[in-house]
Order: sequence, then C-alpha cells, then structure tokens
Amino acid sequence: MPDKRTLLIAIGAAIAAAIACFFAVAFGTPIDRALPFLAVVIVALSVWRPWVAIGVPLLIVAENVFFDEPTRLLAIAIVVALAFVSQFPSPRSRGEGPGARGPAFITLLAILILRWIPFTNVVIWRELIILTGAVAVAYVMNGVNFAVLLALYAPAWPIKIAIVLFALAILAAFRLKRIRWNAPAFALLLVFFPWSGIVARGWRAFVHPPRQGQRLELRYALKPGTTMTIDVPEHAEALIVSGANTQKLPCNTILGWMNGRPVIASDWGFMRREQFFASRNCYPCDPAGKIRDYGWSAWIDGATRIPLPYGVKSIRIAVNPQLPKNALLQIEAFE
Amino acid sequence: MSLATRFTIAAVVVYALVLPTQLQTPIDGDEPFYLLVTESIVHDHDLDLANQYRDIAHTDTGRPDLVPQLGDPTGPHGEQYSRHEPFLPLVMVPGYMLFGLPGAIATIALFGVLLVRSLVRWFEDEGISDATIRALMPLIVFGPPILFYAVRIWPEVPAAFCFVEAIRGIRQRRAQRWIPALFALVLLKLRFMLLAVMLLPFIVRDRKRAAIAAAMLAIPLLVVWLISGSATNVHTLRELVPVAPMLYVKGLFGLMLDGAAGIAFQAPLYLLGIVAFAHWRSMPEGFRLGAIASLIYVLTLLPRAEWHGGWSPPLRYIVVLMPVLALGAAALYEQVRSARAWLAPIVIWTFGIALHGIARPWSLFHIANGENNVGEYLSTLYHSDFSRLFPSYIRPNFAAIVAPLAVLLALLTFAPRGGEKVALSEAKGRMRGVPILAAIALALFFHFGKLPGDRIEFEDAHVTHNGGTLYPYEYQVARFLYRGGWMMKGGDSLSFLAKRGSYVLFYASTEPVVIDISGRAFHLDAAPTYAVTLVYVPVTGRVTLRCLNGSINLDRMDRRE
Repeated sequence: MPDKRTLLIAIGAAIAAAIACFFAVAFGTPIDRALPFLAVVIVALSVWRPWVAIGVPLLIVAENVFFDEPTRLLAIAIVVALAFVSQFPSPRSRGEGPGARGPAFITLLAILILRWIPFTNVVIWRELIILTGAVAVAYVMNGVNFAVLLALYAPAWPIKIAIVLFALAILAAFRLKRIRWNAPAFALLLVFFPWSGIVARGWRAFVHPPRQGQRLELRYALKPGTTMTIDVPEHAEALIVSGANTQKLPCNTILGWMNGRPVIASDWGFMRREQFFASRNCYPCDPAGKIRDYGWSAWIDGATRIPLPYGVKSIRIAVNPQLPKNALLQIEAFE
Repeated sequence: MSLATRFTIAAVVVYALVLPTQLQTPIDGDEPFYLLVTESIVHDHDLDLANQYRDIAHTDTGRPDLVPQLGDPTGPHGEQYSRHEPFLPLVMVPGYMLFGLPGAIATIALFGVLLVRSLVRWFEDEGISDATIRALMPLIVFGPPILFYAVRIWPEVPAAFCFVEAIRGIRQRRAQRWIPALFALVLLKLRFMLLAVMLLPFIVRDRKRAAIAAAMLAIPLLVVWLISGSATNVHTLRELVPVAPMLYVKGLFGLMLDGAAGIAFQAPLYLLGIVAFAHWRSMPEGFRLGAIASLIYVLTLLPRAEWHGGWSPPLRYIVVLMPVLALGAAALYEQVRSARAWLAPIVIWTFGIALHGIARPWSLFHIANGENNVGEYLSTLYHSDFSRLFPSYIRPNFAAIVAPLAVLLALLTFAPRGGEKVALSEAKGRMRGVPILAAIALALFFHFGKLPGDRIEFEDAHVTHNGGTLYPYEYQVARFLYRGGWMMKGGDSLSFLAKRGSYVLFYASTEPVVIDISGRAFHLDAAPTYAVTLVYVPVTGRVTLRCLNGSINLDRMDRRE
C-alpha cells in the first residue's frame, strides 16, 4: 500500500486530472464523456509508477487532435492500455513489480473500463456480481489476465451463467496460479475497450469487418409465406437483409428465397448483450451491419449482404413459410 | 560488446531505415547545391556549376527548378560557383560515385554513425554512467535534430562529429585527434571558424602548435578566397559587430522557445542542457569547454534574421552545438534526480517529432511565417487560431512574452536547484505533478485555442481562403524578411473567427479598394507601402471579409477594444 502522503497526493492529482479532462472533452460519445473517469484510473495506476500519469495529458491530446471517431477512440484506448501494461512486472523482476502488489485492484479498474462504460447502460447488480467474481479470481490467482478475460466474456444475461462461471473459476484459480502475467495479451484485451462488447460477442468483426456502401432504403418486413416483387434500381449490386425474431433459429437457417436462391441472414439484434447468450445465430458471412453503441453495450446489427444476379431488373422475394409465426424477413436496402 | 559499439550498430540500422524515407521528396534547401558541386567535381573535375545549371534537368538533384542562389560568386569567364564551401561535396564524392544521390546522403549518415560512437565515448570519458547513456542516447541520436541532419546533405552532422572529436582531443591532449578534427570543422563551413577560434587558447601552448592553428585557420580562408575572390565568401566581417540588443533577446528566446524553431518544441531534451548552465560548477569539463567554445558562434548567430535556420529542418545552426547540450543534459539527469521528472514527456514529444519527420519529411521545411506544424494542424481542424498560443519570435506574438515567464516559473517550481539531491519519494511526488500540470495546461490550451484571438494574420491556416494568393509566394528566398500577407482581388473572400469590436487593419494596395466585413463596406485608400485603417467587426464569431473591387495585400488585423 502506498503511504498516506502519496495517497493524498494521488487523490489531489486525480481530482485535478478529472477536472482538466472534463473541460477537454470535445465530442459526445460515451467514451469521450468518460474521459474524466479514464483520467482518474490512470492516476490510480500511477501511484506506484508516477510516470504513468503522462497518460492524462495524452488522453487530452488524443481527444482533441483526432476528429475521426474510430481513430480517436482507439488512440484513447491505446493510452489506457499502455497505462495498465506498465503495471505488469518485468520478466527480470521475478514477479515483483507495482502490479504484482495489487492484481485485484488492477482487475477492478480494468473491468470498470471494459464493462462500466457507458455507465447509463450498466445494470448495477448484475455487473457487481461479475466484478466481485473477477476480483476474487484475480486475488486467488495473484494475476489479472484470466480474471479480466472471464469478466470480458461473462454474460450479464442470464446472470446465473456468470455466477456458475465465476464459482468454477474461483475453484480452478487455486490450481491455475502458474498462469503468468502476460502484458501483450492484457493490452489486447483492453485496447479495444471502446467496443469491448464486440470483442466479447462478435470478435469475427475484427477479422471480417462489416462494411456499408451507398444504400437505397427499402425497409420492408415480410411475414412467413409472403412473396414480393421489387424493381432493382440501376447500378444496385446487393440486397441488404436481416431477420427479426429469428435469434433462436440455428445458423444457416433459410429465411426465404430471392429469385429461387436461398436467403440466409441473422437476426438484426442477435448480438445485443441481452440476447446474445440465448441466440443461436452466427456472425453473417458478408456482414453489412453497423457498429452500434459503445463499451460492453457495443454490438453490430445482423444485416447481411446478398449479391444480386448480374443485370437483373427485378427480384422476387419469397419468405420461408416454415419460420416461426412472429419471425420476419427484413428487406432493408439495395446497395 | 561495448556500449559505443551497440549504439553504433543501432545507428547504422536506424539511419539506414530512415534514409529512404527522406527521399520521398526531392532534396531541398542547400542540399541540391552541395550535390551539384559534388557532381561537378566528379564529372567535370572543377567547381564551375554553369554547365550543371544549363542542363539542370539531367542532374541527380531531381530539382529542375534550381537556379543559382542570390549572391553566388561568379568567375570572369562566366563561371558560376556555389557559395557553399567545397569540402563537404568533396567528402561526398566516393559515395556519389558508387550510388548517386543515396550514396551522397549515406556519406553524411556515416558521419552520423561516427558521431554516435564519438558521443558515447565522450560521455564515458566525462564520467557519465552507462545507465544514463542508455536512457538518453536514443533521444539524442535518434531524435531531432541530429536524426534529420544525419540523413540529409547538410554540413551540420559532420561538423558536430568534428567538434566532439576536437573537444575530446583537447581534453585528452591528443594532437592527432584534435588537429584533423578542427581542420575538417573549419573546412566544412567558414562559420565554424568561430568555434575553432575559441578553442585556440586551450591548444596553443608552443610555437609549433600556434603554427598549426594558424594554418588551420588560414587554409580554409585561402580556399574560399580562391573560389569566390573574397576570403569571407558571401559574408562580411561587419556581421561580427554587435548590433541592436533587442535582436539578441529575440534570437536567444527564439532558439529556446519558438514554436517552429526553438529547442523547447523541436528537441525538448536539450532544455535540460540549458538548465545545466545553472549548475556550471558541477558540470563535466567537456561541457564547460564546449560551452565556452560556442560563445562567439552563438553571439553572432543570435542577432541574425536567419537565426531559426531559414529553409531547412529546425535548429540548423545549433546542431553542431547539440552534443555539448546533450552532455549537459546527461550530467544534469545524473546529478539531480528530479530532472528525471521531465523524461517521460520529453520521450513522447521527441519520438513524436521524429516519427512525424520520418513520415512527412517535407514538413521539416517551414516557411517561417510565425506558425508551426502543430499550430497549423489544429488551426485547420478547428478553423480557429491555435498558432497564436505557440510562442513565435519569427513573428513575435503575445505568447512569446508569456512563454519565458511560464518557463521561468516552471523552472523555479520544478527544476533541480543547485547541489540538490532530493529523496526518491520527493522526486516521485514532483514527477506526479508534472503530467497533471501538463494536463491542465493542455485543457486550457484547447479551450482558449477554440476562442477567437485579438490578432488575425490573414495568411494563417485558421483563415478559410476563398480565392487570393499567399504573399510572398511560398518559395521566396529569405521569405522571413517579408511581412507575410494574403493578396485579394475583387470577388475573393476570407472567413475567420473574430471578437466583436474595432480593429486596426494593416494593408498595402496600389489602388483604392472596397472591402466588406460582415455586411459593412470599408473604402480603403491606395497605400503602396503598408498603411493602417480602422475597421469594425459587429459580432463575435465567424466573420467574412470580402474584397468588392480593386486588389489588396492584407497583412493583419489587431483588435483595439
């Protein structure tokens, strides 16, 4: 534990840093608005290694010099990740180091960053259970990697699963003490914290990211058994479709046909944190969704791109009559 | 493997990787002229560049626009010589013959590598510990300005190597080291004679050495006289005569604090070297010798209009002195623990500048209009005048008055004091304070940067230009001697942030002009030389200035109330 004087200085520094960051916020996303909180976290991490506090001015610089949102949020996340990684014991220190003194504390801060931003989306009692479980794992293991990994992937819906998961993890932790601190792995977990929900539920998006072209909106929702003919506009190359109320259907279920070709699409909201664990859908083969929300609430809608046959003037859509009654095939747009 | 060897290997690798990045754009500044001389030596075996200029498209400079520099010496039969001393081009001959332009630059990089080795050895000789060398040497040799001058054709890095070797030789009393080093230093550029002259009292101990020293000074003068017909080339001895004191103040603070050309912004590590002067007695003897040797050189540099280096990468004229400042910084870092508080921000800033210069080598050259790269970038992003928050001594602004006071305050609060050996815990406490204060300063910086200022310089990046041209044009020789402005004619307009109130408008125009500011028309008389008039901005916010008829050169607008 740091001495009383160091603690008081750190508290003063944290307040000053939070105020400076509050006035430096230039954009309206929850990650930008969380800048004061991130500053406090960095000051907390600087208790043992004071130079880590250099992350606070870097946060302000990142916030104010990058107008492009993904670049800006990634820059902020890199600063935060580096501040965390600096706490890791160096290989030469044989396990000794500032972070080695407080893995539970570092885990606590990491989970707050990964799961509690944006705070308005947090269901406190669910998140407290996960937080407690992760901190306990970190304490028993005297390490942070496994605990943070579990916390990142633990579902808050249904919370029973998370409880069971952490109970098993705490028991296992007594035997997993040999797992070493691993800075690169930990940095990788944290560096995408503005989209931690996508890391947890749609990691394939980092390999096969969704893309959007110029779109002509259609916004039809077709019930099972219905058919529809649509004229294809000039230069259209693909149809964007998704399912509604189809999250319980297994992967590759045929939702309908376009000119006789099967249409396979995921539920539009299957990657939402409330629905994901219960869903049996898969990440689309040709994803066309948008990244929505931030932090652990971030998700990608399940829109899928279906290529149009070359030179086709109109398409006939037929919805699979065997789908559940409340299921819908959503024809979103031409692209 | 010794530390010097390790850093030498690292320097070979780093310079070899950085060199190609600097060839993304054609060589610039004085570089093509040095290369032309090399080409002339190789192909024509002479120093006459007349045929090179006639067939400039077929030279290796990649600069078909190249013409002789203003005041270049000429011969009686139409010979065209370069004003630059021929020693550096001569040194580049083998490299050029082997690989052309990259080979010529590689020769300079080789001197950079030698400088690295020499620096490490010098630091070790002066008692700097291995840990300190490991911590600081990457910032010195892989950071600005040495990095940028090591991979470009300028005499600065070879000169820095010679200067270090000369000091080492004098300190070790090894004539075989200081004689060639000092001789090469003076041959590289006549201005380095000012360094050599100050070292003379330390080396002239008998008649033999006095004769050697006299020859060392005379031969370069003779060479220059043979080429240009004047022993001082394009310079005059009057340049050594002290001039107005204010110019010294401007040059001194400019070299330390200017946003575009000052140590604080372009190579912040060396600020520690400046602080080291306050610890004169405890500094290594090499530092003191180097500082004394630099005295006349710096004093003659300060009042020059081109103290900032002109069309070159930043800190051009003081690159040769950087090893001395580096030694001071290292000694301070070692002696005073709280000096380490500054290392983290210095590391980030230094490598930030280095990476920026590697990725965008053309940005190393600036038109010296009072702005700088960071200010221009932010001004363009926010369309607000961020450049005014950076101290400028090229175009003095309010920040140039505040900056020295702020630095003084920072030094009094945080800088290591004489003979201080603070406890580690206290040093850590101070270290925590520095980044937080930096954060507060940055928050204020961005807050005030987004607000309109009291002065609008019309050629600046924050002004949205709809028509018109920059005055004088970007590549005007010695552009910094002109009052910059924006030329407008009927139909052109400017848009900028301004506060409500009366302004004094500085302009020049050969005919009567009508301008419109936010719906109010102002009739301006003809003013062949710069004139002032009063204008009024009715509301705070974005203002549009239109030129309704005539043509006008708008310099700036200063708020009165």
